[in-house]
Amino acid sequence: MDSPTATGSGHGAGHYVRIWAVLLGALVVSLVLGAITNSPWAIAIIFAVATAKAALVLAHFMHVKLEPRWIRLIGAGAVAVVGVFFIGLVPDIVYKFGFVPGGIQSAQANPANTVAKLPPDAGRGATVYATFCLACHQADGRGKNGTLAADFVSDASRLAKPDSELLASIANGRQANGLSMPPWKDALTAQQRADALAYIRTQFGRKP
Amino acid sequence: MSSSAAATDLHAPERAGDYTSTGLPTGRVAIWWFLASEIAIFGGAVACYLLYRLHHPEWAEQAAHTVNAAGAFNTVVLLTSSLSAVLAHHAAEQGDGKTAARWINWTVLGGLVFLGVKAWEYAHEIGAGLVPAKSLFWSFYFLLTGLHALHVIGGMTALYVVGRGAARGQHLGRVELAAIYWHFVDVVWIFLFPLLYIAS
Repeated sequence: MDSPTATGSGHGAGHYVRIWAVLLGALVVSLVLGAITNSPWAIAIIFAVATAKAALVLAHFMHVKLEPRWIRLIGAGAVAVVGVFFIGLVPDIVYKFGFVPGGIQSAQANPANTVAKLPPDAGRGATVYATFCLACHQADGRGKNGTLAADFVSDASRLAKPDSELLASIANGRQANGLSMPPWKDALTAQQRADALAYIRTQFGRKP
Repeated sequence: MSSSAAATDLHAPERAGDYTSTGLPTGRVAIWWFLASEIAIFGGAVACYLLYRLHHPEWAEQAAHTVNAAGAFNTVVLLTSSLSAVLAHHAAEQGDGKTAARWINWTVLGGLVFLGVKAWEYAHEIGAGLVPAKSLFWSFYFLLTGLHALHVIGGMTALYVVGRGAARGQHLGRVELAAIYWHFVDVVWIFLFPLLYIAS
């Protein structure tokens, strides 16, 4: 070893080929699992396998285990920063807008994304409205006197329709009177759409 | 004499500034610091994707449109190119620059194949209207895979330059550094593949 930068890993070429074979085997395990099921435990295993593969590459191809501890701490520090970033934002992003408890699992039980799990809430709906509806319907719900979007306030017939009809319009979009509302079923969850309607009724509807 | 000493310095910068006070080669300390910054870049982007993905379970429907077979094939290509990169490092360790250069060429070829498949996927997806503006999922998909593809291009360039030197028996210590970077690009893909393809 006369090269000044050699790590002196001491492995033969055969060792690297064996690691490569294990990595390919792990890939096959992930692919088979992903093909037969998308249950939460399968997804957990797939990501555990990915982590194991990354660890194999780090240990045997990048020779991290031969580096001094402080080198590993540099990398671990960067990973920790990302972890703090992720955990810190979970309440803001994952649970914003009335996140449906159960996550991936409940999405499977509800593949069409048509059913809200919680009672509609105008408070959560206010955020949805401000983010997705306000640009056209405006803060006063008048949609620039109906020129930009439906006017909820002056035109009483708008909110006189039943929830089912209005939710369908929000989900699938609507073309009428030269106006075009985009469908929201892909951009918003059923929960968010129900919450938005609750807010619209509370804010702009005729009080009974 | 002093002028010849200066000339020697110019021709042997690897000897003079090669080691930090820690006893490690400067280049290796630098590559690990560099990778730490890369962890922050990819980690940050992946963390954002995960947060939104957890908030939108229905994205699974959109992730089903990514071509699993192409992603799996590319995973095999990258894992194999990592093998040739570590074999290049192994050859360089033993002072065999020519063999190292040959393995590096295989790794660069792997990068080219990877990019070719990725380009086909992009064409296929964009042709089907699955563009970044289609939805947040596709924005993340093109951001993450595009950023990764740029790193593949960067890694190939570095490997090509290092490989040319290695073929002449020069700077064999750099083979390890370029290989470490390439393995990192491989590790990123190991996570991107299940995140964007399998978990659907």
